Amino acid sequence: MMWEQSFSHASRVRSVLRVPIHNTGTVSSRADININNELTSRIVEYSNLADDWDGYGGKAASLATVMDALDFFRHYPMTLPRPKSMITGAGVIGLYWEGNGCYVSIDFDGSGCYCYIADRSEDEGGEDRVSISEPLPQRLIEVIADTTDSP
Amino acid sequence: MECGDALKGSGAEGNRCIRLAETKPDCGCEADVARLIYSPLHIDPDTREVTEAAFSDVKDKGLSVQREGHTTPAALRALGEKKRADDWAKGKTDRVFLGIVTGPVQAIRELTYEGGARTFCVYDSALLDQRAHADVCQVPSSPSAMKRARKKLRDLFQRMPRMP
Repeated sequence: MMWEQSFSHASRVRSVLRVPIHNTGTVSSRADININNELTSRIVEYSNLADDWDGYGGKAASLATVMDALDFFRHYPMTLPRPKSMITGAGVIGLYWEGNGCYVSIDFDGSGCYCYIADRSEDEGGEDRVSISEPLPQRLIEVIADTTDSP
Repeated sequence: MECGDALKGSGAEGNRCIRLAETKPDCGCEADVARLIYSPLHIDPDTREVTEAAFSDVKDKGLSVQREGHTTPAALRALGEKKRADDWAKGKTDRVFLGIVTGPVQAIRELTYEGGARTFCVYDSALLDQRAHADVCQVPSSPSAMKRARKKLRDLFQRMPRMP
């Protein structure tokens, strides 16, 4: 995908989402997502993938899925490490954090809810369905924090 | 390693079962399976390792793989490069053949959910032009349990694609 096409598409999606191109750092709106532009662009680009993007019939993410993934950051504490993103062949967007023997991964399917696992080497946790509108579960916050060494 | 490899050598004919029991104590002879990777989106840009999402096809369409015991590295490479060339001819120029990641069939079949239920099945699904083709399919469970199992599946495979 050409960068200009990607940027244009990202702008259109952001327009729908009312998310600015640059994170303002202000509070109280969807524009306050605590992620950098690179991650935001990557997530938005997932909705612009061509059919069969992975060589196995992969689908693009739906707009609802992109919105869910971006909305997740409305409740995301700024002190936590930033995630990486991934996409499945079914168009499900994932975020993940990995380090210190911990693995945290979240799936967004556009339903307004997400599924997550938050595992340490010694214990496993997770939930099948958490509403995007709810604050992050404590387990999720704790294990995300454990993926990096404390500053 | 395939059973045939275990039976190579003189004197094996009359002691097939003993030879197999000695070399295959787990009562299986299945080789690794290889997943061909075509999209950079399945690769972590920092670590160059495949993501959990690269294995997500197991839960719906089946993870298409090649049984290494029924093909050769050269044939795997030719398969990947032919698909890339065919896709480019169709205008799908974002496609790259990045190589393969392999995982052991027996260990995949031995993964279980909490409680002991089997997690994945590996089915021989040979095609006319791909006799080594197989599918890895996930046994349904709760969404989080299935997700955790796919991460464990990722861990069983080699993390970085390599050219066969």
